[in-house]
Amino acid sequence: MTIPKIITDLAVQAQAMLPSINWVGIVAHWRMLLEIGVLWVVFYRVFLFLKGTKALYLVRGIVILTVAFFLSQKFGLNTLAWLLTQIFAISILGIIVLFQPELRQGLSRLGQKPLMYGLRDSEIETLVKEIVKAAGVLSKKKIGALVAIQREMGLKNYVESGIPIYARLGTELVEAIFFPAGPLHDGGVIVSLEGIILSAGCLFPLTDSPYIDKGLGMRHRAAVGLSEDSDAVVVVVSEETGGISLAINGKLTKDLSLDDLYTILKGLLKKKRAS
Amino acid sequence: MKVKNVFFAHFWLKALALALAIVAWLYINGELGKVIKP
Repeated sequence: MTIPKIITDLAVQAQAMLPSINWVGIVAHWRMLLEIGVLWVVFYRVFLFLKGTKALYLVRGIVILTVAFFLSQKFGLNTLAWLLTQIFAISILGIIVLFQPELRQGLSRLGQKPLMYGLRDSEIETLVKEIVKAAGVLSKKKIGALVAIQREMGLKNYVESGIPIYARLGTELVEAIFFPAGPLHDGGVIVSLEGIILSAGCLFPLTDSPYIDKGLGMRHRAAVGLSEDSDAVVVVVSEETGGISLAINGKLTKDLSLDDLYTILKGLLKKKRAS
Repeated sequence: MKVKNVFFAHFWLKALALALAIVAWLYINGELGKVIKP
């Protein structure tokens, strides 16, 4: 028995049980419904991805140009319609060049695969506890810090921009790295999921998101920038206030308590294993 | 109330995506002209 036949039989049975709905008619159009369903999910994911990025302005621009194009065609404004057609053709190339980071980010997220299966819960728990402890100490002493936890996506480029450390993460070591008079305190630290500090003094990309609070410094911008460019979880301690923030997927959550930080980090780092 | 929250999260985004999906399907399959009469 083929799958379409099974679906049709089910529809006939459903029709007998709920005659008010045209089940047979719905099933007859299953290809259309499937295609629209897939398109719906794709459009929704694209919208979610665009939300809060500068690419949203681009979408607005495209909508305005499309409306202008249809209006100029409807009212027979041939010159304007021709001009808009040319603009569309050039825009495609422009979009690829201008939004190369967003396109790369989108494609790399599409191809992400869970790699955390090999890690035990206890290892992640130890890592989270160490990071929270270090954040607590640095926050109390108002020492600015920027710690990125590498997840599925490799951060090789950023690791290479700093000084290799390859030492087990510990509060004292993190404090020493971010000590204001130290040579490495200005950059970021990259930690692997196994709890190893891969590199310190790393240069992270700065975000140009218009949604970031103007009062926040370069450290926070770098945290958001790296989280936009990768799936890393970035913890920031403010030098001015001692406030602890967390950047994930280009979004910054400010002024977290140590308990919140522990819960969120544990949830984020264990998430992929549960799914 | 978790189910309700998930359903209504980004409600307008979901509605817009659905509308766009239907229009895109109609356009690709050449059915748009039958739905919207010039």
